Amino acid sequence: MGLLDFFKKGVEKPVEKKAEVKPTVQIRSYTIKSGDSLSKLAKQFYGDASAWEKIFKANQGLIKDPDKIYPGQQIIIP
Amino acid sequence: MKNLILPFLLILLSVSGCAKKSDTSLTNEDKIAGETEKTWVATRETNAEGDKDKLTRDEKKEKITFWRNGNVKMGDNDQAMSGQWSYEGSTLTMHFTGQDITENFTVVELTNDRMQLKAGDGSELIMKPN
Repeated sequence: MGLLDFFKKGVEKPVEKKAEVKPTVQIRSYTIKSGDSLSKLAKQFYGDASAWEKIFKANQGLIKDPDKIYPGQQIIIP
Repeated sequence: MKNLILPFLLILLSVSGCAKKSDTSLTNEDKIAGETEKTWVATRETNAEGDKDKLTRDEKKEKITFWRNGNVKMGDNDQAMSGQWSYEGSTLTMHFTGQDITENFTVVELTNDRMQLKAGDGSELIMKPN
């Protein structure tokens, strides 16, 4: 049989696959304060006021009009 | 004078015996792969019933090389298989590249110049360093 054939006759076990690590998405929540606007929050969190749409899209169930947000509203900052 | 020669020879023999690195100071990985790599050839094989399987001339030339970094290669050219090996407890595990299973062997005996492995079907292989 020989060495080459012998080493194909071991007790077979499935290779343990390393668990896939999914990248974590950082989601923050923020409570609207008086004087806040989506562009102001975009500037605060992303450094870019024009990224307000990103916040708006993440909170579409909560914010109907991007120009109308109210103090005390808790929104998601994606 | 004769009375002095015998004790002197005994001392000389015991000192020379100590000079050789003993097996007990070697780790199992040392015994399998040496300091960097070690090549083994088959010397004896028995089937599951314990009967001797005669190795052909070609089979006696078959080699397996264990590298200390965990690599392993056996065979030559188009028949060559390579992968990774590890030793834990009394089990030698081989994972050949491209396979989704590992081959596991019970290490029956392991010294610096003899390795006896048992396969899943009960057959055994004895190897010596090449």
